[in-house]
Amino acid sequence: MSRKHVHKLRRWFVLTVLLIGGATFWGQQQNAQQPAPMFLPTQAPPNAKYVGAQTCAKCHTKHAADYQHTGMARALAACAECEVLRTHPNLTAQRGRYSYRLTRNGAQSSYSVTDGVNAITEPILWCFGKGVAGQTYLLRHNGQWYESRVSFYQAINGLDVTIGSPAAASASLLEAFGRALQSVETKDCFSCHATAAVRNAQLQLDQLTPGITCEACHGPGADHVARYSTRSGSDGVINPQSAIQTPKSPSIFNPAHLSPYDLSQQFCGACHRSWEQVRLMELRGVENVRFQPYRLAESRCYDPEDRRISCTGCHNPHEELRTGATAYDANCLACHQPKGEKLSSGKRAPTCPKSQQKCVSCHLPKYEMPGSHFKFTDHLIRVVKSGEAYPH
Amino acid sequence: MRKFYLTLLLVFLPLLVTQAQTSDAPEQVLARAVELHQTGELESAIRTYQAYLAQRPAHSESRSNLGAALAKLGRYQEAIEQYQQALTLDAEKQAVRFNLAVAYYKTARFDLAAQSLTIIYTAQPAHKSALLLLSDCQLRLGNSPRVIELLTPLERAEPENRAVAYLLGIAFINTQQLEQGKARMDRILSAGETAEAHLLMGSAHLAINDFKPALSEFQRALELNPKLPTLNSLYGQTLKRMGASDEATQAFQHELELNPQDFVANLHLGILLRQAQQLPEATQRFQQALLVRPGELNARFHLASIDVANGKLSEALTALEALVKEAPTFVAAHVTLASVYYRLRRKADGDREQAIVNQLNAAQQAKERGAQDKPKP
Repeated sequence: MSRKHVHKLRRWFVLTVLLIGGATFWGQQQNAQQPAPMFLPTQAPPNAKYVGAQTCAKCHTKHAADYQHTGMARALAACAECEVLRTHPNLTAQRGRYSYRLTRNGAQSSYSVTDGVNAITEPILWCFGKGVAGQTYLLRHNGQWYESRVSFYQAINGLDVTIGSPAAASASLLEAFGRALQSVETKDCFSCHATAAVRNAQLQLDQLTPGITCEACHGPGADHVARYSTRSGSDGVINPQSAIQTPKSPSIFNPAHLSPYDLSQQFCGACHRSWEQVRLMELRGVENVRFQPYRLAESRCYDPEDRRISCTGCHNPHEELRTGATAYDANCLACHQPKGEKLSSGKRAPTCPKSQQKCVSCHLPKYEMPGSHFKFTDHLIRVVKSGEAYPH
Repeated sequence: MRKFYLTLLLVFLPLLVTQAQTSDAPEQVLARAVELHQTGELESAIRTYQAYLAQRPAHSESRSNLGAALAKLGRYQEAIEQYQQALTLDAEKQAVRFNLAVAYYKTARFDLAAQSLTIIYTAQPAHKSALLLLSDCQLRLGNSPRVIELLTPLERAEPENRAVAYLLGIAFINTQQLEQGKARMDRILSAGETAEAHLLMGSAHLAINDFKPALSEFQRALELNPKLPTLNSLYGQTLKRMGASDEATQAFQHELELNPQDFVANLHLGILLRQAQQLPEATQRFQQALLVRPGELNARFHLASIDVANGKLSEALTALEALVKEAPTFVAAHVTLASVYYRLRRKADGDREQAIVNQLNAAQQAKERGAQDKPKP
């Protein structure tokens, strides 16, 4: 073979390698650019492997201890673990011609409704809500899921009609028993009140963990645990220091790294309802006061790019909700700091001419949603005008 | 030597026979194809027509016959190609154009079917089948005023024609002309209790959001004729609006088993599947709906929303921007577009869309009397 020929062949070879390499690189780039759906607490990712909150608590001791008593951690309980039913072994109510009785017997509670002639009695399976505002029960009757017609309300320390139930008297014993749930509704209830309840768009009751546990927000933790377990040595025991010293481990999802808009609206809003969801559902009137991300986004001072006015700008999801009138003053002053005082970050907002204390008592008024026996804080931050209509 | 000739004969005999077969006169091949077609041996007929057309490619009748045989086997796309070629050879053959329209109709391309039928109806205003099928296409395309325009003269000429009364009745109900719809309903009812009459009555109730009576009418219609086109779809819509999404899903699925091209069933089943987070299945339904009504806004909006859910924000952005340009008062599209802008950190654009949403909602609320509630803090 001549030298010229060899050169030619070599040139072709190099060109081919470059082309193949370039094409592979381009293909990888294309794949890398393929967007992935955002992780949401309402859906377990495909092939998710959960480890449970107790495993997380081995390293993240403080967060775990603070979090376990929060409303989110206790958003759902199986009947046996239900605090409200344990401490209220006999609950009764009369609505029209129907009598209700919730009776505790050991670790079980039964829910019974009668019109004096006939009765329907079923065991309570799931308790939705911690009971600070209220608690609603999920029952099964003839193979169908039902939402209890009556719920427990802390303010009256007893039963009343469940929010959203028709105001008119029930037309039948079955209607008085509860509202038959469509499969999508049942799925929605569990997806927000439990961890890993929905996988591949299917409700998996046998795999859920009641309440919003660590992995509901941070995603399945098996990879994260495996990573730190292997660092810890041959005994397989996790070294707590190794986890704590690496706060931004990519092996676990951290919603704090989301943009302020995605965090408040897409992530927290997946359950607490985003501006987009409420607008699309056309939920108008005081009923939407409980959808905080929506109300926040309607505020004049809302800035989707400013972390100071995101959900976690004011609330630490690892701790119980602060409720005092002065509890959020520092958060307000993070933007509305008087002139002369230094801001830690971002733009300065106008200073309140009245006070720098108890901001929420004036600017985040409370509204009672009809039938809820509870006053919700309206997160539409504003200068409230006397006698104003509820701003939609 | 004898052995050699025998071998030669054995080798070449099949070739000679084949040669003899294929060298039949073209007219004989065509006659054979027609005979096979008439006796229902469609696969053989198709092969024989194709053999004939290989020799006489410009024979429009054979192309048309081949199209008919293909259509009978459900091979509509191939049939359409043959009909189109036949029409290229002879554009005046309205029977071929009608077959083409039927093939388009069967494949849910109602816009193309309507185009062909309009040509036939213009050339032959007395072609009743073309007129009725054209009206049906227009109804499926959501063009009820055109149905009224098309069928009113025929109704005058044939007041007893129940098919006309039925199509007109639905068109009147769709355009909120309920009294006119009721008149056609009475005409159908006078011929005795029929599923069609109950369907019309149910549609009238549904049009004014009177769901319980609508449900009863559709249930009775289903008892009389569970296969009546669009009946399950209307029943599903009623159930969906009453909050019975599981039963509605079943009703839409039944409709699509009978009538895979039903736009409403595809759209609403897609919405229910999207709510249930079954996004690939929902996507299929919206895509099918768009085959029936190309460019339809709601189906496009839901596909864009699925893109958002799948993290494909730039694709969703393009689709939503096009939607609000085409339909500036489409509130839902503005809402989702605002959200997409914010997620892409385009605050100024998001703020603009949010302001549009607020304006549109304020205008809507101003039209609604008693919408203001005034709970005090």
